[in-house]
Amino acid sequence: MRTETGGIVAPDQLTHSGSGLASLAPEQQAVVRRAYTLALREDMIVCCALLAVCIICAVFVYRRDRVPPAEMQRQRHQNESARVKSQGVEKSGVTGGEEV
Amino acid sequence: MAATLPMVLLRNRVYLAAIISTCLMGFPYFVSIYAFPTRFQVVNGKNPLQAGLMLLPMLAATAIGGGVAGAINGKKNVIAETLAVSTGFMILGAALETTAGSGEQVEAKVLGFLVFIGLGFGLSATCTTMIGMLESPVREHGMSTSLLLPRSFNVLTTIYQQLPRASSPRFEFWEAALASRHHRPYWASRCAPKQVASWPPIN
Repeated sequence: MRTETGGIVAPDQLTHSGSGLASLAPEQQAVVRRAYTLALREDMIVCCALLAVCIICAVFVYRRDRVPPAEMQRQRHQNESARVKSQGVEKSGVTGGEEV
Repeated sequence: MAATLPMVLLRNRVYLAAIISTCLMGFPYFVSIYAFPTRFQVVNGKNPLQAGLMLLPMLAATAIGGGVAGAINGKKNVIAETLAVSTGFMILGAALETTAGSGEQVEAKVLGFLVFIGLGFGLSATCTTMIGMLESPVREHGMSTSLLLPRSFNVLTTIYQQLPRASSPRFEFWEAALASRHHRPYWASRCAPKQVASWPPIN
């Protein structure tokens, strides 16, 4: 791209490329537009490559033994309740042992 | 390490895939949010407000995508499929954006293709959030969802912006243009000698 766009503008014209191209000659404006367009194209190609990897990740998200989200959440809460309960029993058991 | 990053989460294949997927899908979205307003200003001559408003179709599509993914996965668990479809939408949008021209007028297709990117991101954001909630133990919900927050997307984008690529408008375009060995003679013959004399030397 660097080689495609060419040296076109003096440094005093360089400062605010983002604020518009009005101060440039039409020929220069065309080159700048082309540069930005090619840059965007390159960005999008990189994005496509990453998204292709992302499709593979989506495959790993698949589970064969799937349950509905509501059911899954219910199971999670059940497990947590059981865990808390068992921890409570363990603690009280330890405390009881110390007391004895 | 284990206290801040519970290994129980990273040992879960589905959750790990969702995190990677989130990072990868956030990248095109953030690139779009950055690159398109810049393009609208420089290439299409819009002011910053107009350039920002032109992202509205994409943002609206993101919101719609989020709602749709929630509705689809509310009763039936088709998160993996939804995630794949969302990636497909984003690939479609990004691929079509490569057809953008360099004319001064804003092309309707550029705004239209952004909708695909937004829709895909919305769908995927909801899916990964649901995975974060469903695949983690209740006691790890906080960490699980925070790992999936948009800040994790930003890592890749930030790295990408730092890459020394000459073709990106993020880098000093003008310097790149002036440094061109190939085209300098062409432009030198068309610019004032005073301007040519002020150009930096070619490395």
